[in-house]
Amino acid sequence: MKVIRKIIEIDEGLCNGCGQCADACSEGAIRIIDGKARLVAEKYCDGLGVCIGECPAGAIKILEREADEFDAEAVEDYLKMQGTSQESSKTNMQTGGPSTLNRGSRSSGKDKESEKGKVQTGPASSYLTNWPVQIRLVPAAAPFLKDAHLLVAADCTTLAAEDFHRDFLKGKAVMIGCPKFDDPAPYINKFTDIFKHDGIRKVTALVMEVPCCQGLPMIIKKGMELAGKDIPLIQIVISTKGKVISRKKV
Amino acid sequence: MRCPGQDTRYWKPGDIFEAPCPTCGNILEFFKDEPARSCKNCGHRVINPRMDFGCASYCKFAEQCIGELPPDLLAQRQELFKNRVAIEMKQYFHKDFKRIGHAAKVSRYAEQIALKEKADMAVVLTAAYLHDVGIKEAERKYKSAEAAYQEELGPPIAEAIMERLGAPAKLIKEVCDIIGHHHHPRPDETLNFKALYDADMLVNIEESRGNYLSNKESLEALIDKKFLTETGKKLAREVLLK
Repeated sequence: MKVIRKIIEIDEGLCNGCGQCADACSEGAIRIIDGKARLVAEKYCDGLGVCIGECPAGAIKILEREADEFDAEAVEDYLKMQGTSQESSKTNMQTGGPSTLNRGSRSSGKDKESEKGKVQTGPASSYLTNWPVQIRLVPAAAPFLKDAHLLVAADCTTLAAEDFHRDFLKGKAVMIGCPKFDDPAPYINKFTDIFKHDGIRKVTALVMEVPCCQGLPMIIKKGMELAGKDIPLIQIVISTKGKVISRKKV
Repeated sequence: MRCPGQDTRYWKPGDIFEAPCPTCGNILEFFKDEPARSCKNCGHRVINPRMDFGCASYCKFAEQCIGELPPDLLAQRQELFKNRVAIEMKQYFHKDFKRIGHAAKVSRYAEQIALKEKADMAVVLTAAYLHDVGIKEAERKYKSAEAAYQEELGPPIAEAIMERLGAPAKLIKEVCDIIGHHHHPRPDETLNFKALYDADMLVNIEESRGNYLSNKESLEALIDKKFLTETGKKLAREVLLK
């Protein structure tokens, strides 16, 4: 039923596709499609404009126009449908923007449709479920770290591993950094803060066989120490040819 | 904590911009919050052409920060206040989309009625967004969404929300009073109450159509009897009897 009511309008010219509005919308009424925010359906938008405050580009406005009535039941069905696909869904990075944060916090089934028809075999599919991934950028209280099995991967391992996604990333939240070039002190602080949050179940440190990589497990261990936590830590070393050389508890 | 309006981390593109000096044409770089800058070329003191105190329209400390507010900013402030009440309401109800939808719809009708009846829009809309906030507490405390429980438990929650948004005490008092008896009109009601009451009544009838009289005459009689404003009656006839 069409009624005259308030509803959002997105100016595609101004939209930079950052996805913050989509994260803010609890109905999941906005999705990033082809790099622009789009209203999925009129009936999912209550017109209250929570998304507006999140838009850094000023691209969202509230209009009063003829539109489908907001439909709470349809929203619930829609979210439920997305929820069931959550288990297998992997966030499609193409649909997000550069500043999209904490993807784990939103219903990660959102991009399901854009993956339809894609054959998900081996290296072609991404198991990345969180963003950001840089150790420096991940907030200590990031929702995706809650109850997570955390993979801390040295930068080079992501290239060296035969199938990083399938063999190491699947089922984990990931953070990456380089123990050779990056400053260890801020990393130790970051891990201390993260471990203090009571979220992480288990940590896997993935490093290269080269000596300069050996600092990474130490940094993680130091973080646990300072946080007063003893979380199981597994260290996996891979060769420059991408083979697993060793796998041990630290 | 630093004032977010002054904190450049929250600035948007375009908040730092270039403008020519009106005397010599030399290009100067301005930050949105600096009142004036001296031209390096000719020394002329150039007033910032796009000074933006945007944050003052929503900040509860704006008056302390920049003194008495100009009328256009005050108007913008009221508009923003309404939007923020809506957002707070939504956060409060979280994933309860039925209640969010109900509040949104009541506000829509309340706005139409308040406009025609010349009621106080700020009071009516704030009350419309917040009128049912007692419901969650009522369900928790009394295991019932009964109107009387909502009316008892709603005002303190609404008060906390409005205070957080820096609403004036007078508005808080009136809105809380309305919420505190929003299903039970007193013999001599204010226009603001009536606007909210009619809007809520209309949405309630709409939402439970099946339970209400399907018979057109009795529905018409109900509208005449229950609704308190002429605009409310007219709107109800349009919505329910068309």
